[in-house]
Amino acid sequence: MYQVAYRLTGNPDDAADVVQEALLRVRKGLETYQPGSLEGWLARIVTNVFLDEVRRRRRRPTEALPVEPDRVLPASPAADEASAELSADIQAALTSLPDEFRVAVVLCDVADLPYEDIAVATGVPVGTVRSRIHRGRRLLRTTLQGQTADD
Amino acid sequence: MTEPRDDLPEELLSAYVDGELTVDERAAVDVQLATSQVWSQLLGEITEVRAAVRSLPVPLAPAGFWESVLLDDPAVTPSRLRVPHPLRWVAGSAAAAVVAVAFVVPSHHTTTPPVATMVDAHASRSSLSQDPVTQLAPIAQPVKLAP
Repeated sequence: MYQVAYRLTGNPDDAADVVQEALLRVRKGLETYQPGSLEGWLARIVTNVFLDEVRRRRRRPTEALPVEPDRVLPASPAADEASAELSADIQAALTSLPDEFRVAVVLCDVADLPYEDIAVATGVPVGTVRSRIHRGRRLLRTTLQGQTADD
Repeated sequence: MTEPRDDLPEELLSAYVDGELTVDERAAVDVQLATSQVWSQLLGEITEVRAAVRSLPVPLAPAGFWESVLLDDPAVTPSRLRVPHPLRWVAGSAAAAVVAVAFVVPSHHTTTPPVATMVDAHASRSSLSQDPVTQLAPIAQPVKLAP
Protein backbone atom coordinates (compact mmCIF):
# COMPACT_ATOMS: atom_id res chain seq x y z
CA MET A 1 0.00 0.00 0.00
CA TYR A 2 2.76 2.39 0.92
CA GLN A 3 4.65 1.72 -2.28
CA VAL A 4 1.63 2.49 -4.45
CA ALA A 5 0.80 5.56 -2.38
CA TYR A 6 4.36 6.76 -2.64
CA ARG A 7 4.49 6.39 -6.41
CA LEU A 8 1.14 8.13 -6.76
CA THR A 9 1.92 11.07 -4.51
CA GLY A 10 5.64 11.34 -5.13
CA ASN A 11 6.58 12.12 -1.55
CA PRO A 12 6.72 10.25 1.76
CA ASP A 13 4.51 12.59 3.80
CA ASP A 14 1.58 12.48 1.41
CA ALA A 15 2.07 8.75 0.95
CA ALA A 16 1.82 8.28 4.73
CA ASP A 17 -1.36 10.35 4.84
CA VAL A 18 -2.88 8.36 2.00
CA VAL A 19 -2.05 5.03 3.63
CA GLN A 20 -3.42 6.16 6.99
CA GLU A 21 -6.69 7.28 5.47
CA ALA A 22 -6.83 4.15 3.33
CA LEU A 23 -6.46 1.96 6.42
CA LEU A 24 -9.39 3.74 8.01
CA ARG A 25 -11.49 3.03 4.94
CA VAL A 26 -10.29 -0.57 4.90
CA ARG A 27 -11.53 -0.99 8.45
CA LYS A 28 -14.87 0.57 7.63
CA GLY A 29 -15.24 -1.50 4.49
CA LEU A 30 -13.98 -4.79 5.87
CA GLU A 31 -17.47 -6.07 6.65
CA THR A 32 -18.66 -5.38 3.13
CA TYR A 33 -15.59 -6.79 1.42
CA GLN A 34 -16.52 -9.41 -1.13
CA PRO A 35 -14.04 -12.23 -1.67
CA GLY A 36 -12.08 -11.48 -4.80
CA SER A 37 -8.88 -9.69 -5.61
CA LEU A 38 -7.66 -8.34 -2.30
CA GLU A 39 -4.90 -6.44 -4.08
CA GLY A 40 -7.45 -4.88 -6.40
CA TRP A 41 -9.68 -3.91 -3.49
CA LEU A 42 -6.80 -2.33 -1.58
CA ALA A 43 -5.56 -0.61 -4.72
CA ARG A 44 -9.01 0.82 -5.30
CA ILE A 45 -9.12 2.21 -1.78
CA VAL A 46 -5.64 3.72 -2.03
CA THR A 47 -6.47 5.15 -5.44
CA ASN A 48 -9.72 6.64 -4.23
CA VAL A 49 -8.01 8.22 -1.25
CA PHE A 50 -5.34 9.63 -3.54
CA LEU A 51 -7.84 11.01 -6.05
CA ASP A 52 -9.97 12.48 -3.25
CA GLU A 53 -6.90 14.17 -1.90
CA VAL A 54 -5.96 15.46 -5.35
CA ARG A 55 -9.39 16.99 -5.74
CA ARG A 56 -9.18 18.48 -2.27
CA ARG A 57 -5.80 19.98 -2.95
CA ARG A 58 -6.55 21.07 -6.48
CA ARG A 59 -5.36 24.55 -5.62
CA ARG A 60 -2.18 23.18 -4.13
CA PRO A 61 -0.89 20.57 -6.57
CA THR A 62 1.61 18.09 -5.25
CA GLU A 63 5.10 18.70 -6.39
CA ALA A 64 7.47 16.03 -7.42
CA LEU A 65 9.93 15.52 -4.64
CA PRO A 66 13.15 13.71 -5.29
CA VAL A 67 13.23 10.16 -4.11
CA GLU A 68 15.24 10.00 -0.94
CA PRO A 69 17.99 7.51 -1.64
CA ASP A 70 18.44 6.67 2.02
CA ARG A 71 14.78 5.80 2.39
CA VAL A 72 14.47 3.31 -0.43
CA LEU A 73 15.60 -0.22 -0.88
CA PRO A 74 18.13 -0.36 -3.69
CA ALA A 75 16.96 -2.26 -6.73
CA SER A 76 20.14 -4.26 -6.51
CA PRO A 77 23.15 -4.34 -4.21
CA ALA A 78 25.09 -2.53 -6.91
CA ALA A 79 22.68 0.39 -6.94
CA ASP A 80 24.72 3.53 -6.98
CA GLU A 81 24.28 7.24 -7.20
CA ALA A 82 23.49 7.11 -10.90
CA SER A 83 20.62 4.69 -10.38
CA ALA A 84 19.27 6.80 -7.53
CA GLU A 85 19.30 9.79 -9.83
CA LEU A 86 17.53 7.80 -12.52
CA SER A 87 14.90 6.72 -10.00
CA ALA A 88 14.34 10.32 -9.05
CA ASP A 89 13.93 11.23 -12.71
CA ILE A 90 11.42 8.47 -13.27
CA GLN A 91 9.48 9.46 -10.15
CA ALA A 92 9.47 13.07 -11.28
CA ALA A 93 8.18 12.01 -14.68
CA LEU A 94 5.50 9.88 -13.03
CA THR A 95 4.40 12.75 -10.83
CA SER A 96 4.16 15.02 -13.84
CA LEU A 97 1.61 12.75 -15.52
CA PRO A 98 -2.07 13.65 -15.46
CA ASP A 99 -3.67 11.90 -12.48
CA GLU A 100 -5.67 9.40 -14.53
CA PHE A 101 -2.62 8.28 -16.48
CA ARG A 102 -0.45 8.15 -13.39
CA VAL A 103 -2.96 6.00 -11.53
CA ALA A 104 -3.22 3.59 -14.46
CA VAL A 105 0.56 3.29 -14.89
CA VAL A 106 1.25 2.92 -11.18
CA LEU A 107 -1.43 0.29 -10.67
CA CYS A 108 -0.08 -1.60 -13.67
CA ASP A 109 3.67 -1.29 -13.24
CA VAL A 110 4.07 -0.75 -9.50
CA ALA A 111 1.12 -2.66 -8.05
CA ASP A 112 1.34 -5.17 -10.91
CA LEU A 113 -2.43 -5.44 -11.22
CA PRO A 114 -4.11 -6.92 -14.28
CA TYR A 115 -6.14 -4.55 -16.45
CA GLU A 116 -9.39 -6.00 -15.18
CA ASP A 117 -8.51 -5.14 -11.57
CA ILE A 118 -7.35 -1.68 -12.58
CA ALA A 119 -10.68 -1.16 -14.32
CA VAL A 120 -12.51 -2.14 -11.15
CA ALA A 121 -10.21 0.01 -9.01
CA THR A 122 -10.68 3.08 -11.17
CA GLY A 123 -14.28 2.52 -12.22
CA VAL A 124 -13.63 2.70 -15.95
CA PRO A 125 -13.84 0.11 -18.74
CA VAL A 126 -10.87 -2.09 -19.53
CA GLY A 127 -10.49 -0.34 -22.87
CA THR A 128 -10.02 2.96 -21.09
CA VAL A 129 -7.43 1.39 -18.81
CA ARG A 130 -5.55 0.12 -21.82
CA SER A 131 -5.60 3.55 -23.41
CA ARG A 132 -4.52 5.36 -20.23
CA ILE A 133 -1.62 3.02 -19.62
CA HIS A 134 -0.36 3.41 -23.15
CA ARG A 135 -0.73 7.16 -23.24
CA GLY A 136 0.84 7.42 -19.83
CA ARG A 137 3.85 5.44 -20.95
CA ARG A 138 4.23 7.55 -24.07
CA LEU A 139 4.13 10.70 -21.97
CA LEU A 140 6.67 9.22 -19.60
CA ARG A 141 8.91 8.46 -22.50
CA THR A 142 8.64 12.01 -23.78
CA THR A 143 9.30 13.48 -20.33
CA LEU A 144 12.29 11.26 -19.68
CA GLN A 145 13.73 12.09 -23.09
CA GLY A 146 13.35 15.77 -22.24
CA GLN A 147 15.14 15.26 -18.93
CA THR A 148 17.98 13.50 -20.70
CA ALA A 149 18.25 16.28 -23.23
CA ASP A 150 18.35 18.84 -20.40
CA ASP A 151 21.24 16.96 -18.81
CA MET B 1 -1.57 -14.72 -42.85
CA THR B 2 -3.32 -11.61 -41.54
CA GLU B 3 -2.60 -8.40 -43.43
CA PRO B 4 -1.25 -5.31 -41.66
CA ARG B 5 -4.00 -2.88 -40.71
CA ASP B 6 -3.81 0.86 -40.80
CA ASP B 7 -6.61 1.20 -38.27
CA LEU B 8 -4.97 -0.89 -35.57
CA PRO B 9 -4.74 1.31 -32.45
CA GLU B 10 -1.18 1.63 -31.22
CA GLU B 11 -2.35 1.36 -27.61
CA LEU B 12 -2.48 -2.36 -28.28
CA LEU B 13 1.28 -2.27 -27.92
CA SER B 14 1.16 -1.62 -24.18
CA ALA B 15 -1.40 -4.36 -23.74
CA TYR B 16 0.84 -6.54 -25.89
CA VAL B 17 3.84 -6.22 -23.57
CA ASP B 18 1.55 -6.61 -20.56
CA GLY B 19 0.10 -9.84 -21.92
CA GLU B 20 -3.40 -8.38 -21.90
CA LEU B 21 -4.44 -9.07 -25.49
CA THR B 22 -6.75 -11.70 -26.86
CA VAL B 23 -5.28 -14.30 -29.19
CA ASP B 24 -6.66 -12.50 -32.23
CA GLU B 25 -5.40 -9.12 -31.09
CA ARG B 26 -1.98 -10.52 -30.40
CA ALA B 27 -1.82 -12.08 -33.84
CA ALA B 28 -2.76 -8.76 -35.40
CA VAL B 29 -0.05 -6.94 -33.46
CA ASP B 30 2.51 -9.58 -34.42
CA VAL B 31 1.72 -8.96 -38.07
CA GLN B 32 1.94 -5.23 -37.58
CA LEU B 33 5.30 -5.52 -35.86
CA ALA B 34 6.65 -7.69 -38.64
CA THR B 35 5.75 -5.14 -41.27
CA SER B 36 6.03 -1.76 -39.59
CA GLN B 37 9.30 -0.26 -38.44
CA VAL B 38 7.39 2.48 -36.66
CA TRP B 39 5.53 -0.07 -34.59
CA SER B 40 8.71 -1.96 -33.84
CA GLN B 41 10.42 1.18 -32.66
CA LEU B 42 7.41 2.16 -30.56
CA LEU B 43 7.35 -1.31 -29.02
CA GLY B 44 10.97 -0.84 -27.98
CA GLU B 45 10.20 2.50 -26.36
CA ILE B 46 7.15 1.21 -24.51
CA THR B 47 9.07 -1.79 -23.27
CA GLU B 48 11.89 0.43 -22.07
CA VAL B 49 9.61 2.80 -20.17
CA ARG B 50 7.68 -0.07 -18.65
CA ALA B 51 10.90 -1.68 -17.44
CA ALA B 52 12.11 1.62 -16.01
CA VAL B 53 8.98 2.11 -13.89
CA ARG B 54 9.03 -1.49 -12.77
CA SER B 55 12.66 -1.18 -11.73
CA LEU B 56 11.93 1.64 -9.29
CA PRO B 57 13.15 0.75 -5.80
CA VAL B 58 10.65 -0.09 -3.11
CA PRO B 59 10.23 2.99 -0.92
CA LEU B 60 10.38 2.54 2.82
CA ALA B 61 7.79 4.11 5.05
CA PRO B 62 9.17 6.63 7.55
CA ALA B 63 10.64 5.07 10.64
CA GLY B 64 7.94 4.08 13.14
CA PHE B 65 5.15 4.73 10.67
CA TRP B 66 3.53 1.31 10.74
CA GLU B 67 3.86 1.05 14.50
CA SER B 68 2.15 4.38 15.00
CA VAL B 69 -0.57 3.63 12.48
CA LEU B 70 -1.32 0.05 13.37
CA LEU B 71 -0.59 -0.25 17.07
CA ASP B 72 -0.58 3.04 18.88
CA ASP B 73 -3.58 4.82 17.46
CA PRO B 74 -6.81 3.06 18.49
CA ALA B 75 -8.74 5.15 16.01
CA VAL B 76 -6.78 3.66 13.18
CA THR B 77 -5.98 0.22 14.45
CA PRO B 78 -8.28 -2.35 12.93
CA SER B 79 -10.22 -4.10 15.67
CA ARG B 80 -8.88 -7.49 14.62
CA LEU B 81 -5.41 -6.26 15.49
CA ARG B 82 -6.52 -5.27 18.96
CA VAL B 83 -7.82 -8.63 20.10
CA PRO B 84 -5.56 -8.75 23.19
CA HIS B 85 -7.20 -5.70 24.71
CA PRO B 86 -10.38 -7.39 25.99
CA LEU B 87 -8.30 -10.26 27.26
CA ARG B 88 -6.10 -7.82 29.05
CA TRP B 89 -9.20 -6.31 30.66
CA VAL B 90 -10.44 -9.67 31.79
CA ALA B 91 -7.04 -10.58 33.19
CA GLY B 92 -6.86 -7.28 35.00
CA SER B 93 -10.28 -7.76 36.49
CA ALA B 94 -9.41 -11.23 37.65
CA ALA B 95 -6.22 -10.00 39.24
CA ALA B 96 -8.10 -7.22 40.98
CA ALA B 97 -10.62 -9.72 42.29
CA VAL B 98 -7.85 -11.89 43.69
CA VAL B 99 -6.28 -8.90 45.39
CA ALA B 100 -9.63 -7.90 46.85
CA VAL B 101 -10.25 -11.35 48.24
CA ALA B 102 -6.76 -11.59 49.64
CA PHE B 103 -6.36 -8.18 51.20
CA VAL B 104 -9.58 -6.22 51.30
CA VAL B 105 -12.30 -8.58 52.42
CA PRO B 106 -12.02 -8.97 56.21
CA SER B 107 -10.97 -12.40 57.24
CA HIS B 108 -12.78 -14.30 60.01
CA HIS B 109 -10.31 -16.44 61.86
CA THR B 110 -12.59 -18.45 64.08
CA THR B 111 -11.46 -21.21 66.37
CA THR B 112 -13.60 -23.70 68.11
CA PRO B 113 -11.95 -24.81 71.34
CA PRO B 114 -13.16 -28.14 72.62
CA VAL B 115 -14.85 -26.52 75.59
CA ALA B 116 -17.22 -29.36 76.20
CA THR B 117 -14.40 -31.90 76.22
CA MET B 118 -12.34 -29.76 78.58
CA VAL B 119 -15.27 -29.26 80.92
CA ASP B 120 -15.98 -32.93 80.98
CA ALA B 121 -12.32 -33.76 81.64
CA HIS B 122 -12.14 -31.20 84.40
CA ALA B 123 -15.32 -32.47 85.96
CA SER B 124 -14.02 -36.00 85.95
CA ARG B 125 -10.64 -35.11 87.41
CA SER B 126 -12.06 -32.78 90.06
CA SER B 127 -14.61 -35.32 91.12
CA LEU B 128 -11.84 -37.85 91.63
CA SER B 129 -9.41 -35.54 93.44
CA GLN B 130 -12.08 -33.55 95.27
CA ASP B 131 -10.11 -30.44 94.41
CA PRO B 132 -11.92 -28.57 91.64
CA VAL B 133 -9.85 -25.37 91.98
CA THR B 134 -6.42 -26.97 91.60
CA GLN B 135 -7.56 -29.03 88.69
CA LEU B 136 -8.51 -25.92 86.80
CA ALA B 137 -4.83 -25.15 86.16
CA PRO B 138 -4.26 -27.52 83.20
CA ILE B 139 -6.94 -25.82 81.14
CA ALA B 140 -6.15 -22.29 82.24
CA GLN B 141 -4.02 -20.00 80.17
CA PRO B 142 -0.67 -19.32 81.77
CA VAL B 143 -0.58 -15.73 82.85
CA LYS B 144 2.40 -13.75 83.92
CA LEU B 145 1.54 -10.97 86.25
CA ALA B 146 3.55 -7.85 86.28
CA PRO B 147 5.40 -7.28 89.58
